[in-house]
Amino acid sequence: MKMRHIIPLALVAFAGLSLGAGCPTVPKIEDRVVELALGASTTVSIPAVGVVNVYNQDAPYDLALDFNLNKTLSDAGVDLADAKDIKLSGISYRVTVPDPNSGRTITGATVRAQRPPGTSQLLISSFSQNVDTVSGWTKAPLDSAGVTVINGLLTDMLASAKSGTPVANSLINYHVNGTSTPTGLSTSFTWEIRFDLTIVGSITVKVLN
Amino acid sequence: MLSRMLSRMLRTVMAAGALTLALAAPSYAQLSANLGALTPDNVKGYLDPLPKALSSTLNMAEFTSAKIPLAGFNLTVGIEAMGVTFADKDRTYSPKDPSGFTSTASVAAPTVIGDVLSVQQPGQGGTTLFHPGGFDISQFVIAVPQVSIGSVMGTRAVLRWVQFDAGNSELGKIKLLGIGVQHSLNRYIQGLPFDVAAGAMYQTFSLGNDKLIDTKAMHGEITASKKVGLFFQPYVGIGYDTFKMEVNYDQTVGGSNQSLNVMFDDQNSFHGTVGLLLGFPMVKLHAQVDQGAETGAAIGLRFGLGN
Repeated sequence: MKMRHIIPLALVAFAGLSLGAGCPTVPKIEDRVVELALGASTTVSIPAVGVVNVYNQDAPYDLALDFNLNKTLSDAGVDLADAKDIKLSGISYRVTVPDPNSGRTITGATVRAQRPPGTSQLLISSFSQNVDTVSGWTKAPLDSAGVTVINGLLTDMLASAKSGTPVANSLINYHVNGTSTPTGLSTSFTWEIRFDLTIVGSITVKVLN
Repeated sequence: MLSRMLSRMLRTVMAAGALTLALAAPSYAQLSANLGALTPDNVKGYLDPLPKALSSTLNMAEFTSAKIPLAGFNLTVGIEAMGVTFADKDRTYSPKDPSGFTSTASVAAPTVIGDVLSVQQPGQGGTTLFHPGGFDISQFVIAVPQVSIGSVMGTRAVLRWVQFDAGNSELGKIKLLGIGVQHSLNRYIQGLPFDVAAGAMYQTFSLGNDKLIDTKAMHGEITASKKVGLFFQPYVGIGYDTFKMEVNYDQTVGGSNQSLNVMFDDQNSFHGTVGLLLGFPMVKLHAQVDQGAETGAAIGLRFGLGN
């Protein structure tokens, strides 16, 4: 048998082997538009100094100034035009500078958020924290009304980044309320709130499939 | 003349192997970005199809004949293409809640080979978490250059090597190194009507900058083959695979950057092979099917002297 007769037979045999296994086919280079999910976070530090008995404090915070959305997307290789959505995934808090008074506790604390011209909305519902020692991050119990306020700002931030215009009303006032014990002694501690953000954007890649 | 030809072939197959490996695991920067949004637990879920696929493909097509002369010069240079297909169940996983997020409903999130669309998971208080999309891949195929050289005392060496550095581009670094030996057993077992040999191969494979994915594979095999006619040589193999994989990536939490290392569960499995080698004087072709961690197939084309 001559070589030129054997090669076709061999190819048929090879194909039979491959088909028998339900096996891979010859791969092709294909385009994919893949949605990436990115995580980001930003933190606001709130000193609580001189509070006696009732912790009642305003903490204005400009998320749009503090969080660089363009850089986050750029670092991940996502074009701004291909960013699709950004939302709040969670809020955590911790004590960074403890109160010198042993046993200092804040109880029944709440955080409300107000973005002008809107009304104030409950963001973090009742929580308590010993503040006489440094703590790790604790997940905050959230209320959907306040989360909607933050998500509204995030949506506006994304739209503004795409249009290259400043974000209107980006300063949100956070109002903290709670009961400080022991009573009669002013507080001196610092705590932080961390906003965790989740972002989705698409990229085009080539895959071998 | 032969050495010049083999040198050209070696360069060609090296380039082909590097290119194929580069394309087989695409867009490392994007993969790295996707991992950056995931906790170590969820990285394990997202990349879950990879250890089985890599274990199966890397441990294929190392030994395609048991016929090893006791002594003499044998050298083949070629390229081996190995692949597996993925099952539908490999396309999704159930993510676990990361720190700071409490889900209110479970979701089936895409794995790295799953659908390209991200999945939204609802959380406590109206929060949301996006899980990244996959690359929508139905099969995993890689090609690597392979050199076989012998034989001394019925033993030959098998080498695989690809190293590719795309600098600061999104491809990053790719490196595969495999070293193996195969030893004929016919001199110890007289009178067998076929050839039989024992072989083992160790391979390391890493891709991405800072070893985004880093793997180590070990394969041991008893191969039996029989020459039929002038050119045909069917072969079977039975062996055992071990495979280790770790992933290294960065994650920003609370404004600080953390380098994370995720060790995957070892992927150990028995490995069976059935194949056919066509051994023409200077050209060798083979095809085989394998059952290891996954079912797959491999084909190879080599040039040179020997099996």
